[in-house]
Amino acid sequence: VPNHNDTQFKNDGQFKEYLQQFRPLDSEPLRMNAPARAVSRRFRFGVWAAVTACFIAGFFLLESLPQRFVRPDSTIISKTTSDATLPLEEIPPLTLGNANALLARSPSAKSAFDDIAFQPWLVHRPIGLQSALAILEKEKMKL
Amino acid sequence: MRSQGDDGKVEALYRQHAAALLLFATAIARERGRAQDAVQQVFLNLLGRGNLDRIADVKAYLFTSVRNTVLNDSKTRARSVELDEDSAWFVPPDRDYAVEASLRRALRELPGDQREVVVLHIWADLTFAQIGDVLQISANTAASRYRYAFAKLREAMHKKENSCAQP
Repeated sequence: VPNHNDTQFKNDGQFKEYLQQFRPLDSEPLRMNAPARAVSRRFRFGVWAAVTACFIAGFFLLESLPQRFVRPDSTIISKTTSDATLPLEEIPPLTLGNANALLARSPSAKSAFDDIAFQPWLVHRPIGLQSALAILEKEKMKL
Repeated sequence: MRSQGDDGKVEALYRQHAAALLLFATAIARERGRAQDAVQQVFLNLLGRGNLDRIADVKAYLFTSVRNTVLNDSKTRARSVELDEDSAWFVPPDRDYAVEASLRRALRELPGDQREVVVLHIWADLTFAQIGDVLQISANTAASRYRYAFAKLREAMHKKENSCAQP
């Protein structure tokens, strides 16, 4: 094996052998614990994906809720009311047009306002229950 | 999925090639800390990857991965690279660290592409075909770069020996 004191290397092979006597420094020990980070990164990504999916599903669910519940409200009320009361669908909304029509139809302005005012038969009350107003009327108020 | 067998294989590969990979990474990065990080990163990726059997030439794969990691790291860092002048790259014969320093200096003075080839051929023991795969050049180009680099290295070391011999 050629020595570095041999200033003249006879051929390339000898010089290559000489260079190969220089041994590359050893690397640090392999850090085996780091793949846990990769796993946790994958886990974190999964959690984020799940959360995002839940948000999207929740959004669509909320979007569909109003259409599902508006109708049943009125049907539930109409089922619990007595036959003497009017269903909510038949009560016209109080718009300017309806108010004008009511005024034109009524014999006087007073009767028209009476028609617009609160009408107890329109309150849809479950059978067997009383309104708070009815109960208060029975109470003897002490001033 | 990662298995114990894969871990064992990766550790064996690390024991076998880590020193040469570190030298190669140091020759590119010219900074030992970055080189060490790159080598670690490559083996950690290998552990995460799991199936090693699909890699045709594991040795060439390792050197290619280390090179890519160092080059990607260089892109993300600032352009100014601190030269790691003092830390040794080799354990020299007879613990002659003066000769080690002169070899290191001679390697540093080589153009980067020639330095890569000479390190891969002499210390990593890669064939020119493998070097071609690692550096994405032809085997002939690798051999040609090696000849130039080797001649310069020999000349530089010869000069050093002569300067030491003179009073």
